[in-house]
Amino acid sequence: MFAGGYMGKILRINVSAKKYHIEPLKEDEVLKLLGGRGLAAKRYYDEIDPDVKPFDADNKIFFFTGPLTGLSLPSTTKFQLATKSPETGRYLCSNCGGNFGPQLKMAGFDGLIVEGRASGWTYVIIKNDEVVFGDAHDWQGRTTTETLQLLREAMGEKKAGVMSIGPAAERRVRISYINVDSRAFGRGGPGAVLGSKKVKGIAVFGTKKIPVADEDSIDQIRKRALENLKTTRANHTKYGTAQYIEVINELGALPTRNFQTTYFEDGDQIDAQMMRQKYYVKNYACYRCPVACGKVLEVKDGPYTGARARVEFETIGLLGPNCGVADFGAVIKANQLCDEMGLDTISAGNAVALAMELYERGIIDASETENVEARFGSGDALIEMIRLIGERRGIGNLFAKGMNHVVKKHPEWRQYILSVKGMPFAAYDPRAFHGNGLTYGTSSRGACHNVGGWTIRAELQSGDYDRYALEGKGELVKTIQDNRAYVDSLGICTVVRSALGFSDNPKGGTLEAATGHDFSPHLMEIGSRIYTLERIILNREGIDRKDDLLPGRITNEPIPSGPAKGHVLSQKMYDIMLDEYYDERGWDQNGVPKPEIIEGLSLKAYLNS
Amino acid sequence: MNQTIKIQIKYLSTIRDQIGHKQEEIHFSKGATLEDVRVWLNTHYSLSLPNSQITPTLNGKGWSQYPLKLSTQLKEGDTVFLLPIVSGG
Repeated sequence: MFAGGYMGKILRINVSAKKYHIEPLKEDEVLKLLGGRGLAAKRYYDEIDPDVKPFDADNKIFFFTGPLTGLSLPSTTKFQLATKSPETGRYLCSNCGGNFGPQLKMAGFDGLIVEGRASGWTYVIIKNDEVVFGDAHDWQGRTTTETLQLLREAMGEKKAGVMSIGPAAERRVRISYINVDSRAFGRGGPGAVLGSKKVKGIAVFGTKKIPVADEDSIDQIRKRALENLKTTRANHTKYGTAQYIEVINELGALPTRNFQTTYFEDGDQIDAQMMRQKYYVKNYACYRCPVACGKVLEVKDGPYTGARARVEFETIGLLGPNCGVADFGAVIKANQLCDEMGLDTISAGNAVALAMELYERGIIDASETENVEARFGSGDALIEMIRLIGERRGIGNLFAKGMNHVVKKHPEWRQYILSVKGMPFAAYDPRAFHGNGLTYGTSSRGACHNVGGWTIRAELQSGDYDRYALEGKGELVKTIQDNRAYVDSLGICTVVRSALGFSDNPKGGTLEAATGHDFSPHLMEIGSRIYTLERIILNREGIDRKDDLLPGRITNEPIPSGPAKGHVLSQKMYDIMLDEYYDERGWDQNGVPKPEIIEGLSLKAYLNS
Repeated sequence: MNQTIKIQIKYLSTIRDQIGHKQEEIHFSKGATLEDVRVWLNTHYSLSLPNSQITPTLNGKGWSQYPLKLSTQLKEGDTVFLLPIVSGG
């Protein structure tokens, strides 16, 4: 095994039997897939049959750390999850910060697998090698943050890593998240999977030392990275991800009123400067993070006084402009409500925006919204519609089942729905950045800007691409996706990856100092292997080219106003990028990896073993 | 006679923060380029960002989308955004 970075063990918990056992980490898997997202995908491939439904007891949640999780480098906070998504009905990967990943490592484990279904509401406490199952019957209905506190108290460790679900996940709302130390496994509904297993929360605390191959080198790398981050991430420290609201709006890419246009006329009411002037309370930092990009905000006057939340770019974009809401206080209140109930703010924002468009077009009426006047621009309507979804009342019960179910029930609404594979869009409009369309179409989990590859910088500032061009976008998106796939397997936050040398040309010796193994020259290949493995899983679950396409609003409707006015990403244009992308990946024209690429990435023999 | 052109300049994100206002109209000599705007910025304001960290857009398109890149000449009524390097995802 390796000289450092890994603990060498995986903890498997069966909540049906309230038993657990410890398995060895397999060295050959680590060499091929590194950790985190790669190892979680492999376990999913091995253990989740295509016929398993998200809420079946046979569905499992695979949590995996990476070789850098918990080390004394900046922001070694991340761990990864794989499960079958209740929102999309297919493979889901997700990554998250907080303390849980590092504490899991210090408890002695690289991974945690949760399987089965408890007979009653349960919480789980992991302290080093010991696992205790507790009765969470009285915790039903508690918010995610209340449950985090209950878990810390039950464990008796203030520094424990804790994860919880809220009332929405208890009701199996398919856009429910898992709250992890006030960060989130946000997308795809993993909270509802934990809820289906009747697990209200998990706490972990460990006292073991994570081995490192070369302590002196790690120390030097840490000092250099901390110096680098002071300047390169100063904007993140001051404004967090909210800094992009103004930029994306002024470039004409900010979803507005359910993506009907891409420029929000009241952008200066919800941008980062307004956030700092009127609502800022303090920064929030994940484990060992000097950047502290989280921004705790509070409403100090007006109808939403006292509301408090940590608001991010995507949340502002989708709960704000995409619902036509210019009141930052209402966005904070809506974010707080999502956190209390345990809802993904991106999918919730898309669902409310859809409801508002349907309402304004007269397709639905007040009898379906429990008398909420669901009109664009109303902060009260935004908040009440989120409540309907979280509590599964009125039309909220339909949206609680996710967009795949909405389309199935109302195919005539398809033209108003912005999603890929059942996962709603993030807060960028692909008509204004065409590479972003390919990102949404080919992401391993649906319309996601992270897993799919964040192209905005490359398309605007690299000097190599035109944001409205098609040529070259296939190669660009593949490269960013592969880079992200290996970064998601390291155990660090993407915000610090450059400072640690993890670009598409990895250098700096960080992994070598941590593990003693010469990983760096192989990282992009590992990323490509992970992405191809995920595609093999998706193919097995019925996904092919037809599922990689974009919705009609993007392909048929030119942007009607703003800086990107007139631009559209037609089906014909998209097909040019998609063909190039498949070609770059070595997938056939139906989006299936060719045998030679599976062989070339050493996946064939490996997957058959 | 030295002819001039009027250019709208918008400052975004932390550049707006450091300059203290969101936009202004500036007269440049005819034939001025995108690079000239960056040079002008650094001679008129004290910014913590080096020129290489300030990326202009011209009428909604990134500087790199023009064949002459930063040597692209401006014309009367053009709008230039100045923004820092973005990173996300």
